[in-house]
Amino acid sequence: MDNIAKLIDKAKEETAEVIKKNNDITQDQDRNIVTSGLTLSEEDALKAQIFGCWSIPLGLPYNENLLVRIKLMLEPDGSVSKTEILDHARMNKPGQGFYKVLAESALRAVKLCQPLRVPTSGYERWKELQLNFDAREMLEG
Amino acid sequence: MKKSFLILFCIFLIPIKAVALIEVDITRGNLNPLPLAVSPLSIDNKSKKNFEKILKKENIGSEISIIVENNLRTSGLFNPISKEAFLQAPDIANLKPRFEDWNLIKAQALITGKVTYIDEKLRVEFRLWDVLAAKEMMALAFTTVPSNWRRVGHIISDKVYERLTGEKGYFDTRIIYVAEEGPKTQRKKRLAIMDQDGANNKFLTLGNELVLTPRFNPTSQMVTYLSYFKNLPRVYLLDIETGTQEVVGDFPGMTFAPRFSPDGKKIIMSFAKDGKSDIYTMDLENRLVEKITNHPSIDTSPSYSPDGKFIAFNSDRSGYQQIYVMKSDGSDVRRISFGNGIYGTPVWSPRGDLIAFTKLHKGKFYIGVMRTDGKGERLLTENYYQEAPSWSPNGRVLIFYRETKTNAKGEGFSAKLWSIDLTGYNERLVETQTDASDPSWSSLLSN
Repeated sequence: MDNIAKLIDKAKEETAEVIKKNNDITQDQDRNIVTSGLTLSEEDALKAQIFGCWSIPLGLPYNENLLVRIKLMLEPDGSVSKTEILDHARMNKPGQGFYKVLAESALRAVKLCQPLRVPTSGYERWKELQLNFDAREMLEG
Repeated sequence: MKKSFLILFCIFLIPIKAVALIEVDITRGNLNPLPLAVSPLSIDNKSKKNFEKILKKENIGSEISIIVENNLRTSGLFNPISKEAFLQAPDIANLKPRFEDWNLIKAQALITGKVTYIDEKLRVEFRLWDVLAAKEMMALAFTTVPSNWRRVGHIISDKVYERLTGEKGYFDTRIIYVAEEGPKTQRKKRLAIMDQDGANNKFLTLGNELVLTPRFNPTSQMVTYLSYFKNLPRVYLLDIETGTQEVVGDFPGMTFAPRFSPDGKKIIMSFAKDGKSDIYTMDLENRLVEKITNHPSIDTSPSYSPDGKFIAFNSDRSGYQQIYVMKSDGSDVRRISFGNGIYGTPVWSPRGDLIAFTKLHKGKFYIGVMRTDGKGERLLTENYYQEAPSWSPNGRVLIFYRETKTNAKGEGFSAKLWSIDLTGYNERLVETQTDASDPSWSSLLSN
């Protein structure tokens, strides 16, 4: 059993290696290989919609690692059936007030935006979606 | 064979799973103020009558909610929705908001509450709701003497601000400043204090003597300021709570801008001695004076970092007035401002990350901020004449004063307080009863 575990770990490393190698390829190809989900225009439409819904809490520090990853379960019409903050444990940890504020603002953005502008076809591709909210660029001015 | 199959299965499974979930990076959002609804705090008839009698206010619940609304609006981070649009009555909303109704008017957050008169005290409950998530975010209650009703409004504003932005608020604070009246050549200058929203203005001195540069102690409601007594500069300490005042000392020659150390145990200032201006500290307990800089140039305007380890100051040692930073014992002096123009009045942010300054370049005055190593200079506002920035206790807002130009007849002069957000947005005139200069922002009163 231990051997299997080692092999699985090895497989993970190999996957990581493959992805790393692919990073050397141009950005567009990278996008197709790693995410292989939405076309550029589909992704841009979704981003543009969420940009408009996300009120960034301006009090957040720009120099801290404040990345909020939210996994969404979507209905075919783009409405959101379930949201899950992937680092949920961080929400209630002491000293993580900024993270909690950012996570709540990201959840509000998702709720405010729905139904999301999703592609009209290929539901199986995007019925699960992960949004990575990162405000550093905006907060740095 | 079975084992090999399992291994092969796992190897295939992991890469497929790893790339299957589509990830979209959201790196931009809007910086529009968050729309929120501040419902009037509900109040029963008996309490209403009692407070009307004591405070001469018809509906103290509404009055407190107006304070909260105004504070949040002036911060520039929130957009309170007009009460005329509200669909739910305050008492019902406080029990259980109908989130659909608040969603309909585009409120993303909702504040509700209740005021009661209990044992001659004012009791205020308030709740903050996340309208989109349909859940309560915070619920608190305060009991105090009725005359503190404005402070309750400020404390609620601070709690809401902190819960929604992640940083402490700055509403339960005061501003001390120099109130000015009369023609420019004969200004009567008095020390004055007011709440940060301009309410409860009080004059603290009579105007017989010239007063300059009042500065709050970051740990208490003590103020230090400079006054000229028989044409000699004298540094005072004034306790705002008790009104007690004491002379710290008479200093020779030109003395400038005494300011407290972060622990409030020392004051730091500059004065001229032996023909040159250096920076000195004075221990307030034993009154011992220590020389911090020793340079033939003019060193002025010292300001401690919030941890007390460094001091930012002004010096013309490079030929022009620039900003320097040194260790608090005077060692390791390094220049941090290198832009065009001359720089003055450096003030270290309470957050420790930035230094605010005044800059003069090509005849214009600017208020700006730079990082403590001098990088990332940002000019926030430009005008004919403006100076003396002072930070809000959360390091988000700067207050300063601005003077207008007089006409050929020497008329039209005015000095007013202004505030501006760290981002350079939300520039606002701070209303004062008279002309005003040299503002200093207190720490949070409820700390």
